[in-house]
Amino acid sequence: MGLVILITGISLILDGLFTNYMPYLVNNLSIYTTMFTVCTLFIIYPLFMKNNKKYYLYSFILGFVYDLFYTNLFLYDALIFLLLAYIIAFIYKNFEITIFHTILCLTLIIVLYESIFASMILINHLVPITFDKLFYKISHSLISNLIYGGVMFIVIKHSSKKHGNKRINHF
Amino acid sequence: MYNQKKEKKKKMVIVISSIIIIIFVLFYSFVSYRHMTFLEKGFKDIAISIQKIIMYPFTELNHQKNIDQSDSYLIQKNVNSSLEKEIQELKDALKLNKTFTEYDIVNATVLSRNKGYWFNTITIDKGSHDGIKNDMAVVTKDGLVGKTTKVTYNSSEIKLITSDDLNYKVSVSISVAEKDTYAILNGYDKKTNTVKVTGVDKDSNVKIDDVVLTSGFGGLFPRGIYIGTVSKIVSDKYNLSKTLYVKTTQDFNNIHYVTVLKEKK
Repeated sequence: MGLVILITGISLILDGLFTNYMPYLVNNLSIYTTMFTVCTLFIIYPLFMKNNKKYYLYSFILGFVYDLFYTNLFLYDALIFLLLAYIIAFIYKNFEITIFHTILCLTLIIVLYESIFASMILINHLVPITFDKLFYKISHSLISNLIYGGVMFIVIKHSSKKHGNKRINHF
Repeated sequence: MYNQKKEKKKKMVIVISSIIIIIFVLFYSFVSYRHMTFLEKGFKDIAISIQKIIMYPFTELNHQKNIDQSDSYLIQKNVNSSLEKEIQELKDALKLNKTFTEYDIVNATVLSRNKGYWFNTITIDKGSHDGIKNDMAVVTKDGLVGKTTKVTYNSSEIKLITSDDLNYKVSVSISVAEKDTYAILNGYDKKTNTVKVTGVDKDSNVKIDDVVLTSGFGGLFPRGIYIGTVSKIVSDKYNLSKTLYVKTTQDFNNIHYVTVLKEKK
């Protein structure tokens, strides 16, 4: 659990720092836009050792904290993180995860997260969003997050080998 | 068999009610006029205190901290010219809008940007504890940046003027030689990196490089806060009104310290 908290803590802090110091305006976005906390959801699953209930609860709390720190929304990310956690648990249950799969799944998660967010804004008629704008946001969110996800995957895999597969049993 | 059926029905009811509650919460979360609950404000304040500690090395070492941003030449020059006009208007026995001198200032540090990319908001480290309320003007040395929304005890969210929010409009005046023209600032043009001013009278004599300031109408913002200069003028297709594209000197990607204009008691 210590490693989980450490990884999510680092991701949360880095998310805030990068957003503060990199371009983050609509259509004036850095191509290295970070969504580390969302990506961490996928990376940390093996550390829960198939204890799905604990993983879902942790995802919900992480989403709640993310809302408090970065979005000012009420329980939105808590629920979306929970939904993503269900999808991630399903993926881990049914597929063997390699670094290639990790990158593929992280892309899927980013697309899902951004699409749901944009849909909610569209439904609530808050900001005019077009498919082009959404594609722009997604395309600018991929590079750094896939690199970060890949690196974290290797770190956790290495850590699991070091401590023996008893502790982390998904690799 | 009967018990199994009953159990299944019970499960179904729980699942359906959970889905309804989740959908309700998701929609409620996005309501723009939603007020934060007492509990939410409490949690937010705890999160802000933690964030202040995390951001301390990045905010405390900068010499820009605690500088009154409204003291800049760009702001004061336009405020002074607005005040002169107001004095003239007073002489004409017109009702005076609130002037810049009727405001106190609160210097604040930007803690984070809203990760909700579409909202264009930032969070500062000053809240109701420092006398900040909703809808107060926020400036930097380069002019108006936005207004306060969602204020908690020790934090406030600022909606930037670059926001495309359909419900966010600011009344502005454009200083044309003979008389001011009034219009509405709403939206941001990504291609030209300018803010959009719509509803300008088609007969007004607005020219490129005319200065755009807050009008003071509506009582939200004081009169005369600098926004930018007109860089492009476009008439609508029926030639009923004009849209202005206003170039600001503000780098909206690089806001770390702001000043909130607080009404004097």
